[in-house]
Amino acid sequence: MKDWPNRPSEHRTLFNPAFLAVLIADIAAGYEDESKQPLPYVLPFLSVPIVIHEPTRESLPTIATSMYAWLDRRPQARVEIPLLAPQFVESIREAIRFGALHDALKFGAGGSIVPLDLSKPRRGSQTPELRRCRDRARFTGRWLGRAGDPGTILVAWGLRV
Amino acid sequence: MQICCIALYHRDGNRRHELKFQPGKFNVVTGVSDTGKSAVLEIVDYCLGSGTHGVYRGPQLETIGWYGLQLIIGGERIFVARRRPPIGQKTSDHAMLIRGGVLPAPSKMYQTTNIATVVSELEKLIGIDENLQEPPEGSTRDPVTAGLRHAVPYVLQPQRLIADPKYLFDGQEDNFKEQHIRDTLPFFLGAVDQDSLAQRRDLRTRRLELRKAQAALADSEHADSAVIARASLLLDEAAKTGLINSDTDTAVADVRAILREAIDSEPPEEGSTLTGDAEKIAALQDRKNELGDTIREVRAEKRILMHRAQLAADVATEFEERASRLTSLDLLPNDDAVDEACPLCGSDSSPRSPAAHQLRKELDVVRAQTASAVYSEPGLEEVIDVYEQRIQAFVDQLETVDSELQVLVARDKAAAHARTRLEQQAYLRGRIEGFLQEHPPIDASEGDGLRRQVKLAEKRVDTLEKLLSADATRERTENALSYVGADMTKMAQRLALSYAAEGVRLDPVALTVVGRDPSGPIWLNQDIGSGKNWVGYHVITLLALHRYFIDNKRPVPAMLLLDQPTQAFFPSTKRDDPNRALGDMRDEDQEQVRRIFDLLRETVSSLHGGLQVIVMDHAEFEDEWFEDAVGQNNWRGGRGLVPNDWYA
Repeated sequence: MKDWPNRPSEHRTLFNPAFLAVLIADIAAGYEDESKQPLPYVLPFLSVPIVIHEPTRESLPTIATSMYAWLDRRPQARVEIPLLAPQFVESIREAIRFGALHDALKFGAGGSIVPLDLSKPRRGSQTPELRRCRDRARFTGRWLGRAGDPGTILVAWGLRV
Repeated sequence: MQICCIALYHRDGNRRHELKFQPGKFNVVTGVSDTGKSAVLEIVDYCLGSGTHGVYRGPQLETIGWYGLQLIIGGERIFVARRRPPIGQKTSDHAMLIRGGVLPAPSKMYQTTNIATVVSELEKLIGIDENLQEPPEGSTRDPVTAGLRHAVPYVLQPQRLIADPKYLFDGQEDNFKEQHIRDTLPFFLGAVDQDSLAQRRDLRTRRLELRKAQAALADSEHADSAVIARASLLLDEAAKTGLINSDTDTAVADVRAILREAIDSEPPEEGSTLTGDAEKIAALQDRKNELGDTIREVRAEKRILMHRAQLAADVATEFEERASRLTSLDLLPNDDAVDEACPLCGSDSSPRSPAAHQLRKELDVVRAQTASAVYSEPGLEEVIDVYEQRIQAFVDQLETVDSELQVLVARDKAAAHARTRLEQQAYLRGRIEGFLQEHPPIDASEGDGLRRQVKLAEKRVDTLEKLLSADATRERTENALSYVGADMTKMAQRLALSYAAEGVRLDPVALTVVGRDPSGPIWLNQDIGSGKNWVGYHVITLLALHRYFIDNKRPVPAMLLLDQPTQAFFPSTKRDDPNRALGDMRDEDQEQVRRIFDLLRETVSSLHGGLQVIVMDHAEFEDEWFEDAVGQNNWRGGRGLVPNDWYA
């Protein structure tokens, strides 16, 4: 990962650490809602790509649909996400630190992630696309929360830790 | 035609023997031998073209090489000769004919022509011209042309025939020959005369004329009805194209008058709208095309602009999103934190995350970019609007032009339709005019004329057919035979022949003599009576016929050859006795024989040389006329047809 001034503009803007941190906090919040547990440390590396990859994001089902059933129906997800995820590992790690630094989240037991309250923004309104991403992030968190243990989930998505 | 002499030429070419006869007179050949005498008839027949050489053989005849006949026909001497068939042949074709009649020397006998030609020449000389005997209608026979051969039955009465009740004429025992005799008798009697050929030609011509006249009449009648049909068709078309009122009564008889009226009427004025529209329409069409092109161009330009605008918009959107994501910073509770050590592990070695202020700086940059991106295409939206307006203006113009065009086209179509109609009318006028010229009404008088012609032709044909009808021939034959019969009756009564009291006649169909007895007609061929009777009947029939032929100048050889007429009168024991004499007969038979000979003599003399009779007979009379009749032809004492030294 390059130093900030040397990164490509997409990474500096579309995938800036503040944005990713916010998403991670939203995912953790959804996960905790569903499973009453903090988000395991590894899951942001799966779930953030899901949210920022627009085709995958927009094809997410309702909460009632089992993740495994959905994956069976939509096998391209198991190809696209494993290709995308490695490119964001560094960014996500950085985003977690950034989030922790700026009190978007904190660490729980075993390095799991606990969301902090982001309901009071300090200024401006969010664009519709931003809002959509945050909403899907929350959903993804819940969806993962119902899907069982992290190892099984990762394998189901074709990811290796 | 009569015989001057019979000339026999020896085979050796050195010798010639003549038998002289007197033309126009009663000739007798008397003598001992039976052969020889009968050979005379055979020789005459052969020289006149018979199909086969006679049945008589014998050493005398085998010495002969050529048979010659010196004839006299119409005052001219004609010599004909025919070669005796060589051994093994039935007949010979070799013949000679010399006009002038000088007998050729024995060494000069060789073929110069054939017998058919000889016969043909003789026919011409006698005057048997072309003639055609048509059998009665319905008969299956072919028409027969009478020739010399058909006249021979009136000339020859061979020995076996002269006392035959059944057959009157030589050859009659043959069905075909009998039929020919039947068919040609009318001709020889003159019941079918020489003119019939010309008349038949005439009839054919008249029949053709009749057919033509009938055809012309039929044509004109047929043509008229066909013409009327065509006229009706034209009338229908005239009604359709408005040339005549459609309610005109077309069933009226005089279609021609209606048609004439139709084309004489004034054609209507041409409308003023008929011209000029075409140009206007064309101009509007062009304008429409122009506008269409212009609109397309402007639209294309607008599309380009819009594409640019869209690009710009897309870029703007992206920048906005970047800006937005960067503002996530504002979502974080603590934006002032400084990253010094890893919050997780506290280590310091990871690369520095951007500080919040760096993110803000980033945001400012993005925002600036966004703003400039939006303003790098100044007035694009306005330009696009202007284009929109222009397009709309052109579209409006196009619509105007289009509606104007439609109005004009509708008007033009009506004009075209009217024009077409006028054209149709004009064309129809032309056709009607042509039709009326081609088919002027047929004069009633013309039809009458044709009918008169037909009647005239029919009458002509009728007349000729009557003239030529077989019925007419039969009538005339019967008429002729009535004269013959009257003659026969006189002679029969003179000879006291039986059944002759009430008249006898020749039946031209039965070819026999018909007499009467109390019970009705008696036909000779019914075998009634005796041989003596039959001889008498043969003689009188032929004499009567010849008298008729001669009186009416018919083309029949004016000669009659009778072979052994007295034989039947000899007692049967003596009949074949070569030495029989008149004295061997019963008295009444002698009387009868004398009567017959007298009859023959007197008939010949009454015809003043017109008829020659040659009798070959055994009987001898003491009378002077008999010696005159015999002349050199007494074959008694060993003389005969052929000189003894020829075959001795």
